[in-house]
Amino acid sequence: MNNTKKKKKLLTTKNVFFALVALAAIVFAVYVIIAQSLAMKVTKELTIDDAKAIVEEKIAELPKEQAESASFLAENIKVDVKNVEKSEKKSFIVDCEIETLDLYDIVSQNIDRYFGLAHEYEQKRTEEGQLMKPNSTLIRQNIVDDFNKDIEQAEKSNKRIVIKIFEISENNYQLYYTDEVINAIFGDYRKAVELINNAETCTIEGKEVSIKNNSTYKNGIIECFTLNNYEKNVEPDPSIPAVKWLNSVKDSFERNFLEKDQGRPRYMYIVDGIKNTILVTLASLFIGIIIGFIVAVIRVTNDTTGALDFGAWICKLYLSIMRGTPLMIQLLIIYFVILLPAGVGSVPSAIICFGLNSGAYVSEIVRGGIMSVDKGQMEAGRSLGFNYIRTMYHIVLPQAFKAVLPSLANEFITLLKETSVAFYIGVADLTLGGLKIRSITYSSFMPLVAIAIIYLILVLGLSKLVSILERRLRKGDNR
Amino acid sequence: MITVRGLYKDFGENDEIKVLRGIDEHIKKGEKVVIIGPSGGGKSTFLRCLNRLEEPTGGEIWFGNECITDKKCDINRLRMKMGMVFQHFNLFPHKSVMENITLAPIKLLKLPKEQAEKEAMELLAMVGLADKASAYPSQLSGGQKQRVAIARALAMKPDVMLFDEPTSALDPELVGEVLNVMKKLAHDGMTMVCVTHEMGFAKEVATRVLFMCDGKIAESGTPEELFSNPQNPRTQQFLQSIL
Repeated sequence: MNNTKKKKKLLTTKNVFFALVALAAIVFAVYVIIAQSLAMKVTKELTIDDAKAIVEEKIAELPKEQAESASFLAENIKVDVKNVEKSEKKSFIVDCEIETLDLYDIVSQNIDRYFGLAHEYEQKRTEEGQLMKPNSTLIRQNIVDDFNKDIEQAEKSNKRIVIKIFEISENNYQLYYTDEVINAIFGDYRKAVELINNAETCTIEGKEVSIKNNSTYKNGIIECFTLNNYEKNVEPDPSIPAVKWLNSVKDSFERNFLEKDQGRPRYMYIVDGIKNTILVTLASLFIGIIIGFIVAVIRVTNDTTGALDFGAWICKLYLSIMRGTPLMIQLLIIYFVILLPAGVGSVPSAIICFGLNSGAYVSEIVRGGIMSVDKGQMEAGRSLGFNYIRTMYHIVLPQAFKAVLPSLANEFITLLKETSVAFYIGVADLTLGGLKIRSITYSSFMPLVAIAIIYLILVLGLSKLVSILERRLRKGDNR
Repeated sequence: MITVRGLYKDFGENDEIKVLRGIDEHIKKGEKVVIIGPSGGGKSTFLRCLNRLEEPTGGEIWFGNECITDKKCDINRLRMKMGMVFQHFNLFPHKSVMENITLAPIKLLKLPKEQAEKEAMELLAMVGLADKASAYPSQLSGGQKQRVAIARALAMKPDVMLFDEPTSALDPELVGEVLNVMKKLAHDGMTMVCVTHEMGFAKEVATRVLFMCDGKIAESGTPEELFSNPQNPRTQQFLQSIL
């Protein structure tokens, strides 16, 4: 008997559901791990000769268009592979010695001559009466032959470098050029560019000429050996799509929440927002309950005894206005029309507005609760000698409160969510926190889903609290 | 102790339902008055007018030397001296038995909590429910509820107790325990006014029986006179139909 009960208990819909979810998660995780490790393996080992051929071919392809000198240079580089080692992420690390030219050396020795050529060309053009300003391409055309001769005559030297080769697919490889590798292959290429860019004067025909701001000359010279199109610093990622997605989620998470603005991580926008949202909700809930109970008592008293006519009229007016106009319009009017000119800040304004608004709804809920309490309760209290107000306070309202607690909880949950419009008057609440992050990172998914989840957690927490309170209040009901 | 002069009570928007049509009555201290009569005769309304749970339309009610029907009188103070027991008990469901009994003494008589609870325990012992002090009304039977309600009314040490059909809502086997408490109360000399259909109780306890019919007291007398030798034809008819 006991045994069968236990078995039955294990096979509830909930347990089966969670078991299936867990199973699916495990299957997915195993698939990802296996597929990822396969994706990371190379299909074919590389011999030293293979590696040499690939490196030479890829280096020769490096310079595109323009730089004939660079092409010449690239085509004449000799590669001597010393070692090939398999590495993770479907790649090989190739340790090689390359025979190349020192570009920096050539440029630093001949820089005055190149500027001289550029200047000479410019002079000639002016004498011919061509008024059009020269551009760097024209300058380059005048210098490049000279430059190529320099390169052809330069002496070569050996350098030891490490290059990574990725296998994109079978028999299709890609080199990973870091700036260091490019710099080494092309003989301190970067240093040479820097030298030209930083030149302030040069000696032309024995005279010192200022070229500090002459970008036309400088670019013209640089274009002789420039390398435009190498794939720099982007390491190919052979991961399977699921892992790529996970990584992009991780990156997005870091960018949206962990990166710092002026020393503060971005999630602090949300943390501060939660504080304000909770503050506004709790404070306006407090105001709402007080107003709601007062209005409800006034209206019930008016209904049952006929007293407080004026009070009841005011209450009805208040109810019609609060329930008949959109909350956001109320918020804007209360803040911009009434309270901002009086010097009240946005948070107190939001609290007052939401308090007034929720008071209207709470009062109707409480009124229903009071009317649901048996008439005999009021009579019993009165017969003992309590006056109307004290009977209400000691006897009727506690029972009414218990009766309306679920509806009140609903109202508070609504209130918590409704406070999200407070950002319209600049209250730094949870919503505004999320929107701020969105405006910085331009990504919508992470910040918006994050605040939605936080609202959900707050609402579920509030529901839980209410159910605990309800259980404690129900102790008089057990039969 | 209670004097009623020319009491009228009308219901309805235009007072078209005339429930009480001129009642004159005097209830002396120590009297146990039982009110009987057909339903719709105004018994409950009359009782409820005595502590102004119903606002009389006309006439005067004097309690001691104070006029209850005077708008200026402090009705709440006078009600403390008039205990009332209802047909449907009207216990406070959100409070325990002890809290039900001590609420009014603590809040209105300003008794210290300890003293109020001590007195409440004595009252609970008197009604035979000393072990139910911490129970909630929903855990009690109808008879137990009504006995708690009596203890609650007695806790204010009233000069008179008003019973509004105290056993009508009870299962038959529970009626006895409530009537026993009321008999005990009567023997202790409490002034009581009781609307009931329990003729046995009326015969045994009442010093006087009122027969109410059509908003008037049709006949009044000791139980012996009224039950064995009714004068009014309506009384005869009523007694015939129930006995």
